[in-house]
Amino acid sequence: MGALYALVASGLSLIQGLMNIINFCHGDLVTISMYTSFLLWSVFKMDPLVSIPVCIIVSTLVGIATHKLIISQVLRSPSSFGQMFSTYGLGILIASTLQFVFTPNYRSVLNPFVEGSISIGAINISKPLLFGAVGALLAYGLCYWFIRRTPEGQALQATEQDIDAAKMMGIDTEKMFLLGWTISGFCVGTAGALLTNFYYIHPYVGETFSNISFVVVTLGGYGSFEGSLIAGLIVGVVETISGYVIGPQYKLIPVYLTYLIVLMFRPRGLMGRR
Amino acid sequence: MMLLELKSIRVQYSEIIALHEVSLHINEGELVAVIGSNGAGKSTMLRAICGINRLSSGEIWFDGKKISSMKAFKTVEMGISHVPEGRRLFPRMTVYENLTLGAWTKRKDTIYIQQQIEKVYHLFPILKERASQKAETLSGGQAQQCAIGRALMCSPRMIMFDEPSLGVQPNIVARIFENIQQINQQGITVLLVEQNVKRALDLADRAYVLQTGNIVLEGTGTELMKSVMVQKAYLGI
Ligand SMILES: Nc1ncnc2c1ncn2[C@@H]1O[C@H](COP(=O)(O)OP(=O)(O)O)[C@@H](O)[C@H]1O
Ligand SMILES: [Mg+2]
Repeated sequence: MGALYALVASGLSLIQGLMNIINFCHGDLVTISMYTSFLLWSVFKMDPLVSIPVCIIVSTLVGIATHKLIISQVLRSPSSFGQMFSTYGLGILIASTLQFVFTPNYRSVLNPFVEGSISIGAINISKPLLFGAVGALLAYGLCYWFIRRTPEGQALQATEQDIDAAKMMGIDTEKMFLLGWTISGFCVGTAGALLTNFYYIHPYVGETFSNISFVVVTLGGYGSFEGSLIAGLIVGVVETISGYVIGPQYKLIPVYLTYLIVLMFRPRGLMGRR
Repeated sequence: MMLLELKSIRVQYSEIIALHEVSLHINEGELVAVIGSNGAGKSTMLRAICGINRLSSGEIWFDGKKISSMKAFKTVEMGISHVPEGRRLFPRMTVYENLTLGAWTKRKDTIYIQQQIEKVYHLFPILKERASQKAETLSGGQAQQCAIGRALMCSPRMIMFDEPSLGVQPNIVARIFENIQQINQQGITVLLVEQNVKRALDLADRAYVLQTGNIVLEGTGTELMKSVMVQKAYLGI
């Protein structure tokens, strides 16, 4: 679960750093990806693994639409409240639209290609979960390589660090925004599709991911791609262990406690910058 | 041959008019200085030329083409490079990465980028030593050298310097001005904006005086140095 959190949070971290906004509807893009996967399974009997590319495309397109229609508009307004509430409102809009179309029932994909579990000694590991973790790490690694090792990734970082200076280098920053949404769409779309294999699907499931992503991004250090990975894994491990030890219904309490304790000693997060 | 021409440009920030009706020109190969005190509109002028600030009226022409409605990244492709006020390096990237980004418009040509980086290292050997250091750890003078190197990476036709002596240790300032002269002697047109009036006028072929958004005086460097108005207002004589 931690790797998936890291993947979702990396997308959030990137967008927030790049656009300099707080994006409350990030988790809802995960929901959209999960419903896309679910829809393709129920109508076309497409396995969630097969539909990953479609999920990526759908979340990227929704992200770019959000950017063009809402975020680039509100960025012109000087009010940061306006920016915050517009993404918050969009999140509610997405969730309620999904509720209207798909009803608030919990859904899940039956008999996916990857199912069952493998046991190592006394420990049972569910195969879809393991698969999700490996897939999420691969996707994270791909994003990481792109951002840190390619010229386009460098330009993306430059835009994040100083947009005017980036323009002076001849970087088309509007294109970089679209690139950012595409990478974020890739993270969220992949995560949603991998989750569909084992997680329940619900119009408001994205809220959980939004909240956890905020925890991960802040815990890891605002704007740190590496921090998101480490923090995501920590949150996943803490959540799993406390689920076993004190019961699934309380598993988030230790997560938030860890978060508060770390922030008390390192207000900028684990890998935060000065 | 005229390389850059501003025709009565006006730039405003919502209500505040930063530039009223500024006209000036620069010939190919010249070193032109624009001097003026804090808040005169010098930085605004440079940001308007490179397309970051938009004009309310007037036109900007570069190399026979109207550039005043172009996006900023297009003006870089046209050959205009900018060493901005405060340097504006990418703080969490290394010196090497900052330099590479300077050649963004030529990013496909890795051989060219390597050759160009060697040239910059030759001009500023300290950058080679600091190549893998994060830009935010550089001293003022090193950062200025890095910003100038970054602006050279795209082989520009014109470089605009915005107060290159600001925030640089006094013993390095003379070096920076020498570098600017060297760059100009290599055939690159220079537009230099300064509050360090004496040094700027020493260097410049021609100069303009900008005062609260208006050009109030123009002439050769030596002419302006002798002008009573410049002596009183900027040289404290
Ligand atoms: N981003 C901005 N928003 C509003 N006013 C600005 C902004 N930048 C500059 N100004 C105003 O425009 C005028 C010119 O500023 P500037 O171009 O920075 O002058 P200089 O570079 O000569 O010191 C000043 O009155 C300044 O207060
Ligand atoms: Mg200035």
